[in-house]
Amino acid sequence: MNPKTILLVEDNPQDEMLTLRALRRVNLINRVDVARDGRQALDYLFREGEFADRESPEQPAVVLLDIGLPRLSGLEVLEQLRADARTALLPVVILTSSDEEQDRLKSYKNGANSFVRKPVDFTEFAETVARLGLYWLATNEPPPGR
Amino acid sequence: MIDELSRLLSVNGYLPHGYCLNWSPQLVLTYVVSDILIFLAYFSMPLALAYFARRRKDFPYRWLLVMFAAFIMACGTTHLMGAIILWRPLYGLDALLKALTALISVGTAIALWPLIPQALKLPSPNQLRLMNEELQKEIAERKCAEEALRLAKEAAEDGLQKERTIRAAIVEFSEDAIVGKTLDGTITSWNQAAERMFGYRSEEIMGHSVFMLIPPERQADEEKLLAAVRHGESVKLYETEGVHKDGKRIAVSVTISPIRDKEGLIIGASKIARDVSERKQAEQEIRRLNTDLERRVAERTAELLTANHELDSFSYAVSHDLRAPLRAMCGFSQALVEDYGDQLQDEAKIYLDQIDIASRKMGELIDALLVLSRSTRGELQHDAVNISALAERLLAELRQSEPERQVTVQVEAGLQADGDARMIEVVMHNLLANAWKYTAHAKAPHIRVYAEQQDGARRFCVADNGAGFDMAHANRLFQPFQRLHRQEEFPGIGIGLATVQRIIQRHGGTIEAQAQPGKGAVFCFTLPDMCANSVRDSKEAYYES
Repeated sequence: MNPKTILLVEDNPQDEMLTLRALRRVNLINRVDVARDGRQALDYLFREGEFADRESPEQPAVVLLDIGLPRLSGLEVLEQLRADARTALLPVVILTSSDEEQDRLKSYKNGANSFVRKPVDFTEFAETVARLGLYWLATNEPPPGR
Repeated sequence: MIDELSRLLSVNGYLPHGYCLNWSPQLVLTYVVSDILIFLAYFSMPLALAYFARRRKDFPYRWLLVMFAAFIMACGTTHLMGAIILWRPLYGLDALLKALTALISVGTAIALWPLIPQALKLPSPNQLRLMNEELQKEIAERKCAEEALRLAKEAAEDGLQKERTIRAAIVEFSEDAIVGKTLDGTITSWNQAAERMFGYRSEEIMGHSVFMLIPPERQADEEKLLAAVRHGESVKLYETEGVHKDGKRIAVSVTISPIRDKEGLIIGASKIARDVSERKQAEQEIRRLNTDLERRVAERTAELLTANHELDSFSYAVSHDLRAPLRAMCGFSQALVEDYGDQLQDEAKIYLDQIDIASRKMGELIDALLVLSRSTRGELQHDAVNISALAERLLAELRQSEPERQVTVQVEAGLQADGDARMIEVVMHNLLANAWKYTAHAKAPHIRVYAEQQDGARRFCVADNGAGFDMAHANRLFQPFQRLHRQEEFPGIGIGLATVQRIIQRHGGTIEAQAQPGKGAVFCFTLPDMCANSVRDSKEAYYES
């Protein structure tokens, strides 16, 4: 069985550090790849550009996608993922600071599998990220591969 | 025969009559005087009769008068003879005269008798007088009646004349042009207003066709109107155009109706035209103003839309971008404690705690600001809100959050309001949470929710007997981040009432507070019917779309 991975799409280095720290503490750190903007995320998932010869043949078990991203916003990334047959069923969790209703609505409309607000409180944040990682890697069954 | 006559007239052989009287002077004188007076009297009578006959030509028995005159003159002659024979014995002549008189008298008497019945039929003067009086009376009455009739007739003619004059004046001086025309459109009547409206004098236009008052493209309209009139129909307030003598167009409102003769046959049409140019201009002006207003509203809407978009972007930025650094400050200070706690002195840990506390506090402020900013955005929903049930639920939640507190609550049943249910919940949540918070130090905390009428408006009130505040600072109450209590007394960030006021204002209502330090506070707000706010709502809905 191939090791399952997480793709974290996060432009804020501090949030990235805190997220990775939380995942490290539940021993998931070796299975996390990071994209720092929307374009990069799409390249990674579609194996284009710098990721054209990505080693792992598998898609990640889950994409943790921020909304406020440079170049392409998280919602635009989601839209393109859903429009492409290769990624149409890929589990995507929106992980954002926003508690805007509109963001939540658009995320679900565009086919997000989950919407999680990043808590400001550090302890809460760490717990949330850890739970997410464990759930999507250990508990959730991925869609059948093609 | 001659002899006989001469013998008869002869005086020979007879003695004068005086002898018989012995020539007594008294007797002779009496005889003579009497006979002569009688003779004269008798002969005067025919004169009177003749005079009578002449004056009364209508007298029916004129022949009787002649006979009577003859008879009385004959009698008179015999008396004259009587006087003569006193001295001359002409007895033969006297006898002859007497015989003649007898003849005439008898004839007259015979003629008279059959006349009596007829004469009786002749009205007597008295009867005549009565009849006359009767007649006079009748004549007077007739005259009276005639006079009355004449007066009545005059009055009637006078009234008719007056009515005709008034009618003519009504038509002539009407403010509306009144034009009479035949069924083929020939003008037969033209009043002053028509003259003013179309510029033609009556003598210029009478007998001409009404079509000369109508612009070419409207002639078909006039045909239609005339056709309607021919069918006995009236057309009311038909808006069309006319042409002035100088060629200028006039906007007119026309009412046209058939004119009928006594038999009810339609013989023409009356056309009442009112100049509506001013009204049309006013309408155009209103349209122009409306267009202008719409343009300005559109401009303003666009401006507001832009401003709103900017505000949206701002809130979005606040919500996303201000939180991340906070999370970093809070997160790394905690990570420092967790990962390197054993290398830190206690004081260093206290400082790190302060960073944590401050960042949490700022997180709360950001959240509160977002709530405030959201209360100014979003379409207002029209919901029927059960204020009583809402208050009961919120109070139950508060009680659950602090089960150790004993607060008596009193919620009036059946309080209903129109508004956006979620926003009203924010309002009630803030007011009740405040009441709950500020009664923390009260001896017997009491919270009351009720409604009252004031100045014709229904006000919903939340009252408590808590800390209250000084009314001198009431103006700062609803401003964001303004607080009337120190943090250590009552914690808070001062955004709740600003949010409440903003929501109430968006609903078109008002909110007021009354308080006394140490005695409690009461907050009352109104929520007008939502339909009154539909204009504002729809505008806001537009911003949102």
